[in-house]
Amino acid sequence: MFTLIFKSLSEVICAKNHNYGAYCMNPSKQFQQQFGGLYTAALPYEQIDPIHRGALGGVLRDAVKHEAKVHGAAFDHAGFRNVMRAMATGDVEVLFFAAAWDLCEPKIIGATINFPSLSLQREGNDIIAKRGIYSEDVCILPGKVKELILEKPTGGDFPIEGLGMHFIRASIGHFAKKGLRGGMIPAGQVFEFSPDNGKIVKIQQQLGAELGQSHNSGLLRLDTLTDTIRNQWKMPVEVLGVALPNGEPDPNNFIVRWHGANGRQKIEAAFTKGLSTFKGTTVTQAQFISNGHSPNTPMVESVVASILKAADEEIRMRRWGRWNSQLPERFSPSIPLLGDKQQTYSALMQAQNNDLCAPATDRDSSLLVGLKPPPMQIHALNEPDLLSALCKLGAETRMLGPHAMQTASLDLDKASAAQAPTRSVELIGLERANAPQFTLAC
Amino acid sequence: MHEAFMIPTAANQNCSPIMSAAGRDYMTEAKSMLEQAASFTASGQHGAAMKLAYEACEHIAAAYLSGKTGQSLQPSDTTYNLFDMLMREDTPVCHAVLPPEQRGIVGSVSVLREIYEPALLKETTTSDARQMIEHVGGLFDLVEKITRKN
Repeated sequence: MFTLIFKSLSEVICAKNHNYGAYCMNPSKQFQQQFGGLYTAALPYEQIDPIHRGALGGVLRDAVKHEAKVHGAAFDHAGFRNVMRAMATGDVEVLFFAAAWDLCEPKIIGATINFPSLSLQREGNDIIAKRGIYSEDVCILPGKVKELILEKPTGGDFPIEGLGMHFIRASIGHFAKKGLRGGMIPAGQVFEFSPDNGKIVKIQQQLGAELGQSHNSGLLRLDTLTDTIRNQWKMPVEVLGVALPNGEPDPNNFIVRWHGANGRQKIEAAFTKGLSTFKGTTVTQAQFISNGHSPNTPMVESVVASILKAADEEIRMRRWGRWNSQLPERFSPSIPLLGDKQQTYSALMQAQNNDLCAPATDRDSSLLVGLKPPPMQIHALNEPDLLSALCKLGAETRMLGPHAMQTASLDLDKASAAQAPTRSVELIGLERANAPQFTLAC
Repeated sequence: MHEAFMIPTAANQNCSPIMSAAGRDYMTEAKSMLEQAASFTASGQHGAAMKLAYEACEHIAAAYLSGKTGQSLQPSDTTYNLFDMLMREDTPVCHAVLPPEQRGIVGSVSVLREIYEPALLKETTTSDARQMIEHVGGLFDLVEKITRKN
C-alpha cells in the first residue's frame, strides 16, 4: 500500500515538474539538498492534497505505533480514528518528514504531531503569554530509513547531525518561518520526555532545551479533581480566553491566573486541549508558572487548587473531550424556569436522578455538564513550590508504559535565531466565568 | 572542552592512525562479534544479532580512535559518536581526505544506529539484521584499509 502511495506521489511530483516546474525545477521551494546529497523537507499536512491524505492514514499510524512500542505503551487502533478526526478539525498540526536521494522519488520517513498551545514566560516580575506548541510525538520510521540506506547512491551521505536532530531543526525552522495554521508564530515549545531516552535527551540538550530535573520539575497527571482540591480555600482567580489572529476566541486554549500581595505574587496556568495519540482520547495539557514569588504553604496549595477548579469548570463549559458539540440530554438538565412548578420540579428531579445514577467514578457534582472532563497532564518546570503543592493536592507522576515522564521546554525564538522576539497573545475576559450554573430554557 | 577537540588535526600531526595493540584487540573482538551476529541471524535470533552488530561498531570506533589518540578508549556510544564526528565532519582534519563513498559507509552505520531501538529488538527481521551486519562489516573493512596504509 505504501509503495502505491509513494509511487503515486512521485508520479504527481514528476508531473508537476514536467508541467509546472513546481518541485524539481525549483527544489528549494519544498526540499533542500543537504551536504552528502540527501534532499529533505518538513512538509505541513494539507487536507486538500490527496497525497497527504493518503499518507496520513499510513505514515501517521505507523509513526504513532512506533512511538507507542518504543515507550512500551499500548496503541489503540479504534482510538486512532479520533486522531484523524482531530486532524480534520485543525486541533492537531502535523508535519511530515520527507527525504529523497532523487527528487522524483521522495519518501515520507516520519512525522511530528503538535497542538497549538501557549507559552508562559517570566518577564521581570510579570508573566507573559505567547503562542506556543505542545509537541506530542516526533518519529522517524526505521523501515523507511532502511530503504533510504539501500537506495543511497555511491558517494551519498546522510546529514552528519543525525536524521532525528536534522528533522527536529527543520520543524523548528518551519514553525519560525511559516508558523502554525493561521500564521501564528510560536515562541516556545513544551513537550514531555523520558529521562531514560538518552537519544532524545542528547538532541534536546544540543538544541538548548530546558529539561526538567526531578528535584524542581515534574510532569504530573490528574485524572479528576480530588477531594483535597475541592476542600481547599477558594482564592479569587481570573479565567482568560486567548484571541486568535482573526479576533475569535481560541477554543483550545485558555489561561487561569492569580495575583496576590498587590500583584507581587503571581501564579498562572495555561490549559490546552490535546490528544493522546496512542489512545485517541482527549488530554488537557496544563503549564503552571509563577513569577518567582509564590505564597507560602498552605496558601500556595489553595491558589493551585482554585486554579484547577476554575479550569475544570471552564473545560466542562468548553466540552473538551466530547466530539458532539450538543449537550447530551441525559446529563444536561434543561431547567424550564418559565414553566409551571411541576415542570420545573420534574426537570430538577430528572437532573438529580441522572447524577445519582452515574457510576461512582464518573459522578460529578456539577449540574452544568455532568460529564467527567478529560484527564490533565500538568507541567511544572523549575517550579519546586508549585510542584510540591500539586503533589500534596493529589497529582501523581505521569507514567508512559514503565517510564516516568518529565517536562521540558524549548525557547523557539532562541533555537531559530529569530530576528525579533515573538509578540504576546491578546487575552480576553470570559463572561462565562460568572455564568449561572444551569442551562436555561425559557 | 569536548574530547573531540583534543584530537590532533592534520595541521599538526600525521593523519593516518597506527593501530595500537589495544586497537588491534578491539578489531579482533569486533570481527568475532560480527561472525557471531551472522550465525545468530542464520539461526533466527535477529535481536541478538542486531545487538552484537551494534556493539561491534563501538569496538571498531574504539580501535580507530585508540590509534588516533594514543589512548585506550572504551567501546561505547560516546566513543562511536566521536568517531563518527571525526570521520564525517567537513573540517580540515585528516579524515576530510577520505573520499565521499568512504564517508558514506560511516554515515549509513550511524543512521542505522540512530534508528535502532533496544525496545524494538523483537520487531527486527532477518533482512534488518543482515543489513546492519553488512554495513558494520563495511565499516570494519574501511578501518582496516585506512590503518593498513601505515
